[in-house]
Amino acid sequence: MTVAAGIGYALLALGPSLSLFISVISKKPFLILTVLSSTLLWLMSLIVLAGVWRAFLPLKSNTWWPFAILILTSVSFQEGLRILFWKVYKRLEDMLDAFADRLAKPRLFLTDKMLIALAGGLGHGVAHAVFFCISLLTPAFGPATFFVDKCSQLPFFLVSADINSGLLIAAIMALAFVTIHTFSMVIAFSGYAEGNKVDQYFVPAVHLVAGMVYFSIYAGIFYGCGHPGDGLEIRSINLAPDITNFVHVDELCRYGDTGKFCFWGLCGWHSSPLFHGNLNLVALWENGYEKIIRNQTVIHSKRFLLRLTL
Amino acid sequence: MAQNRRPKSVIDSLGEEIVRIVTPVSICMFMVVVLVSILNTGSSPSASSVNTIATIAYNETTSDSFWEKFKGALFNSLIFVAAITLATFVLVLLFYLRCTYFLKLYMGFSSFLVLGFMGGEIALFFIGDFNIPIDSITFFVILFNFASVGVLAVFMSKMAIFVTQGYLVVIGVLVAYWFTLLPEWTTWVLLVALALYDLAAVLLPVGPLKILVELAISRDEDIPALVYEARPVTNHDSGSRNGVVRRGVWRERSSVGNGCDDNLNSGTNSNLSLDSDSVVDSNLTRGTVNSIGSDHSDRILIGAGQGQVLEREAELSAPLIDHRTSDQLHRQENSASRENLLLEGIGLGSTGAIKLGLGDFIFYSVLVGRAAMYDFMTVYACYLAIIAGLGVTLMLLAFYQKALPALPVSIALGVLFYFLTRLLLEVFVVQCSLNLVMF
Repeated sequence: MTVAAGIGYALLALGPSLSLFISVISKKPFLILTVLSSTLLWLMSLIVLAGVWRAFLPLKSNTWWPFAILILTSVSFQEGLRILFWKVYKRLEDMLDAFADRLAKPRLFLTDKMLIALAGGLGHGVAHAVFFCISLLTPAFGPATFFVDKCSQLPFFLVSADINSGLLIAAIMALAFVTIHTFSMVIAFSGYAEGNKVDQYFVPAVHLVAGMVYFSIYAGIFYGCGHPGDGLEIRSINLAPDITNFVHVDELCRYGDTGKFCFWGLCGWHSSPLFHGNLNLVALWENGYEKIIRNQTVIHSKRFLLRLTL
Repeated sequence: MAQNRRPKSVIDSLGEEIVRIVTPVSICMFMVVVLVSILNTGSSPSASSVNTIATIAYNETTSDSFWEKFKGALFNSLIFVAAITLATFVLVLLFYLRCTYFLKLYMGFSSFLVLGFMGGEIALFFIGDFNIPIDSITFFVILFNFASVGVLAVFMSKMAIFVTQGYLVVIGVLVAYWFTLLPEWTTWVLLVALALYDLAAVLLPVGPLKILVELAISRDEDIPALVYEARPVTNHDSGSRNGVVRRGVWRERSSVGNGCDDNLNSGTNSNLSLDSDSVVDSNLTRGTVNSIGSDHSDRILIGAGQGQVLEREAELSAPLIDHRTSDQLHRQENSASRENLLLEGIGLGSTGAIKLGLGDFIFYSVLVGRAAMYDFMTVYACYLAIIAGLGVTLMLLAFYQKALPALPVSIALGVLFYFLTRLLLEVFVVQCSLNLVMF
């Protein structure tokens, strides 16, 4: 992956929010502060969720119900956060109106209120995009991180469409979520302000449905590294379909000099030409998952997984 | 955009002061992150090629045990903080003996060293990494001019404010980048130690910075130091005053009625951050700033009435990197250790604009640069934490109206968020995003 492709994906996920920021939000400093504080709030909620779920990770990816519980709890927590945000916003509105009265300026217009809601939603959306999408992209820019891990001496190989498609999916989903977060805040605030029940229930419902898209993508991302002829070490997969035949992967990759490679792909998509016909990709999943459990290095393996260039 | 004739709403200009100080801090942090990610790609992470005062006691290697590293880092930081304390006391002594001219000269000299030598080194890194074709004469001419203009910008207050601000940010970036070359444990313990030192030095009665500030107040003088002053906010709606905005925040308070007081009261009663923003802004836009025909750099306002509004700057000397060592690439360095007059602490300028010391810029960027060496998620989390800490400090500044240390809150939040993100959040988010679980 090249730097240009990485920037492309980042802009795909964050482009509309960037243009929204520049055209609307940057004109009023108050909205910039609102964006920053709502991003911070979203980050804190995510940390709380992560803290709560830390004991249960890593999840067995073969079963779907832990993920369902995860999505359910996360979405409900975030909707609760939205209600809290609304309460804080009401107090803020009262104070701003009092302040405006004192300065003999007009009170908050409707557009001002909607702008504040928009800024809040944008903060949430940008935080989501950064944490769920950009963090996957950054290793693709090159060895920009500092740690030493097992495959760091690998020469780089260009990847085929697989990685690009995986990242493309992540970027498009991030874009969709940015939009959802941004505008659901506007809808929710106007719903709470007018007492409109349809609007109030619309927002959590949409959020939940969007979160459940996980189940519709019967896919997953797998990755691994290895040496042709030596064996392969595979990592993270999800929702592996039923496996009939089983490819036995016996040896972990040796980290010598040349000839090493990594691959990364998306299930159901066309496999990399390197392996065409040589691997039963589906069957590798199950075994790879067991290696994750044994190695306990799945998180750091994320580092080398995405270092694929040519 | 629509050309509506609607009068300006209250949220149009609220919080502008804060944004004007948050923007350069963000730019400085962003540039350090970019520098760190570009320049640290090829080098080996385990060897530290810089010997400084901060690593004099213990040079960290990756093979030491946890306690070894921690103890070594602790020793390093203690020595560094002790060196800084000593230097600050020397500074206070010099200021007491009225050697102000010498201090200003020294400040200019150290800016020249930072811009010239550190900037030159980083430029050499770039030239080496990207094979830029440039000859040495051109390089030296450009570097010399760059450094000289920087010294003038920092020295003279008559330079265009944008140039001055730009050079201050560049100095901050350069120093912060060099600090990120320290070994990891040393950096973190050093940041925490400096935050504690800042707290002690500014708030304790025996602290050198407090003494310095009081000296400056009593003599009605400016402390010569590197301070970033945000561009003052002009109050456009001063219709009641016929367009002439006078200086003197607190003298006007009694004459404008109780508006300001009510606002301050409501600010003290509630804990909402944005309410205090309005307090800050109302105080600052009420007759501050842009006073016509007065010199914007000198006056210290001493307020009559309730409380005192004082312009204070807290100061910190930080010995910079000692280039006494050569690394494997045989760079010739001079062997003088340098000192730089950095400034820490946050205060209100004479025109009501917020002043933030350059030392704060530097250490915020060091924290974020160190986070960049791990992952981008930590960068984002630490950035938000530092900005939140800065906001809290600004609120406290509006509340207490005296010089405050800007490091402790931000560094505490930054370190906290870094470790929380690294330990908790990353596992969670990586699991989710690799399984395409998004919410």
